[in-house]
Amino acid sequence: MSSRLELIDDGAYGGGQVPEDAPDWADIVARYADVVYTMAYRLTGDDEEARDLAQDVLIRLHKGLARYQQGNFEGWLYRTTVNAFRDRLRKRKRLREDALAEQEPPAMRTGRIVEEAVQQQELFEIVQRALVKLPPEYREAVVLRDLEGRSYEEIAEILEIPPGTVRSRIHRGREALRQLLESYVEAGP
Amino acid sequence: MTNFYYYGGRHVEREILSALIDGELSPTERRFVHEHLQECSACREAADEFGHIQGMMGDLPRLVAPEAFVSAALRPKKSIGTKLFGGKRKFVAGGLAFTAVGITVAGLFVPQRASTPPIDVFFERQVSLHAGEESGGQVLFAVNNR
Repeated sequence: MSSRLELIDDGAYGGGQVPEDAPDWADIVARYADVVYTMAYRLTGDDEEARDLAQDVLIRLHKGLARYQQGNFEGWLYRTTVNAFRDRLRKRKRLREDALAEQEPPAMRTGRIVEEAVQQQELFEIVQRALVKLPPEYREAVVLRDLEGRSYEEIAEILEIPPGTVRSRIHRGREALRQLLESYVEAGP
Repeated sequence: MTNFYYYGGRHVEREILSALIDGELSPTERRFVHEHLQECSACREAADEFGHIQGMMGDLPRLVAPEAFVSAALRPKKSIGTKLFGGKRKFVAGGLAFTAVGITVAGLFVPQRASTPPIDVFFERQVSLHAGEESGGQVLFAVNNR
């Protein structure tokens, strides 16, 4: 049985009608699970929040596949992630910012040797803490630009704001990060 | 440190410098800014800072999605079930436990109905009902309507 067919029974495809051109769900999960989870973690700074958010995103994507039309899948994925993140923010007002101190950092894809990896991990945690202190609208823009490598035009489409506002949010986000990471920035190469 | 950099004056706006390192300036803007940076150490320093911030962010690694999360994603029914309790698992588990204890304690104070069979009889009946269920009868319906 194909992975797509395994999913029919929950009614996500509207009573079992799978569009012929619907992307294969297993392929989507294999290709984008890390992307969605990473973005969720960068936005929330908390493993449990990230899992819940990422799960929410995948459920929304799965339900939306029936209506998905061939086009910019990644743009849809990022927009879905941002919308789910905003919905959670609205519900919770504020995600825990001190969560990183309480938990083990998640595994990361790195090929570095152990000592370097430990030092890097510490820096990553410092940067991540700074990131979650940004206002959500700056955080979204910085994550999409610096972590996901999206252009201003793509970010404008994802966030549904003018490109000039994207530029402004990224700049303000970086200014805030510069202050939060001042000692690391000035000590840098 | 100077906080703002001005076009047409001595310095370039910091927002422009931020956009420069993203490669998001027009060719004309880029040429102008590059010419300015050759002569202005303050703007070069500001651009370097943005570049360093961008580098630190860009160095954050791609994380590995937890295996359980990926497995659940391939079984949306379970995912949705988990989602309903997502983030509130401890609360829900505690609530269920509290409810179970409450029902048990309350049961001690409720007079036994004459028709309620002793507990051992009930278990025997349940076993026989399940046996009937396996044989294909309407027994489950009968259990729900006791």
